[in-house]
Amino acid sequence: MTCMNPGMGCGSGQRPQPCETPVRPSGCQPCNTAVKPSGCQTCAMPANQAGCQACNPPLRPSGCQPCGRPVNCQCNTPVMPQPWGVSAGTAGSQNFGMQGQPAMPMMPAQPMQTAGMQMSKRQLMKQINEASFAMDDVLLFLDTHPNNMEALQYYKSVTAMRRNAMAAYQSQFGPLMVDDVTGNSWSWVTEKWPWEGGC
Amino acid sequence: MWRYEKRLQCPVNIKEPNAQLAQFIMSQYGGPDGEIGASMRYLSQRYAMPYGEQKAVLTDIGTEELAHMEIVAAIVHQLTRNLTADELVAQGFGPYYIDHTTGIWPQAAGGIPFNACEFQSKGDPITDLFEDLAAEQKARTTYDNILRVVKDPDVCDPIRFLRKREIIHFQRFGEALRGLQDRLDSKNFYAFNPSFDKPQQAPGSGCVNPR
Repeated sequence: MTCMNPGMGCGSGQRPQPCETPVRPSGCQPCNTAVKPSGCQTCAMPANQAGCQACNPPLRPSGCQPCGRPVNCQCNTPVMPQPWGVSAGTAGSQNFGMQGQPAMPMMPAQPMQTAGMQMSKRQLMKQINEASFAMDDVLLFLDTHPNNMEALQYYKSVTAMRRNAMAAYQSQFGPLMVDDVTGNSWSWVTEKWPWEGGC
Repeated sequence: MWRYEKRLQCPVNIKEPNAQLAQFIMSQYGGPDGEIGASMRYLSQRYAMPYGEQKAVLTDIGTEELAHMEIVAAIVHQLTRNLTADELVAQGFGPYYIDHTTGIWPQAAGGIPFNACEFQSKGDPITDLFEDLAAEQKARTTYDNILRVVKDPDVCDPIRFLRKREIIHFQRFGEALRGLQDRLDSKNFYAFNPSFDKPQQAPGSGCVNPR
């Protein structure tokens, strides 16, 4: 996911604050752009072929879970909903109030190979990132809502996805954890490091 | 015990170096509201927490902050890659370059070194959790300030991600504080420090449990 309008989209003081966040993932580019001086109306429009009216910040929080996915960061935008987090990262009080009753969890894209087709290194890492972020997020929710069965169920499914995706990655592309070095050489030191673009 | 996972929590792939931005963003590594301070604060405070919920929140957020430290360091590293000394100086990175070349070192945007005085660990769970709430908001403000001057989408995407995590953490700390207060004396949260006093030895109560 990239900022569609680097000039304005990345934080020049003029962009109306609410526009910035809630918006995007896949359909909603215009939201994030310079566009609207006043409150983001235009945001909603072009973007929303796929039911994303609620992208438009003013309309949320109730309508647009999918669209309003928190982040513009590729690590969790496109697929991962963040049912346990403050949706879209807006600091609005409505969101704050919603914390106790998370929306229905939605799953990250199914990791693993699709029938007979090996996933690329990049695709696998994307799935690891998505499933891992879902885990990072739900575990904090569980810390303060330890009796929430729905969240626990979600935790179990995303951790299973994460395990599978990590196993698939490590068997083909090298270790992610230091206890997963296989083969006859010390591949921990030869694979790229994350800050070099290794992930 | 911790083990490293060889990936970033949010990928960083910056194509255009920009040392001036690096100078700003490094504040979220070692500055007053940076990720090192956050992680050290939470991981240090957990020992004084009386209940499992608060210990868990501090452990897990403190751990996530380590991953955020790595994201910020990766941003700074990539923003200062492949620049000549002249370019670094021209982009306002001269003083840092002289002391650290382009190595990662924890300091604020203004050059002040990281210092443990940037956080507290007070041994009083109410005090500590209020500090944590404030810390998340201060970090969120800093990310907002950074976002106003960043134009490069490769940079602003991970910065936005980090900003949003501050908001989630604020939410969770709020819940942890509420969970704690639910277990204290609702008429006087300060009747005793649950991680220090035995209730019958509460301060100022003449050694009598005020409840």
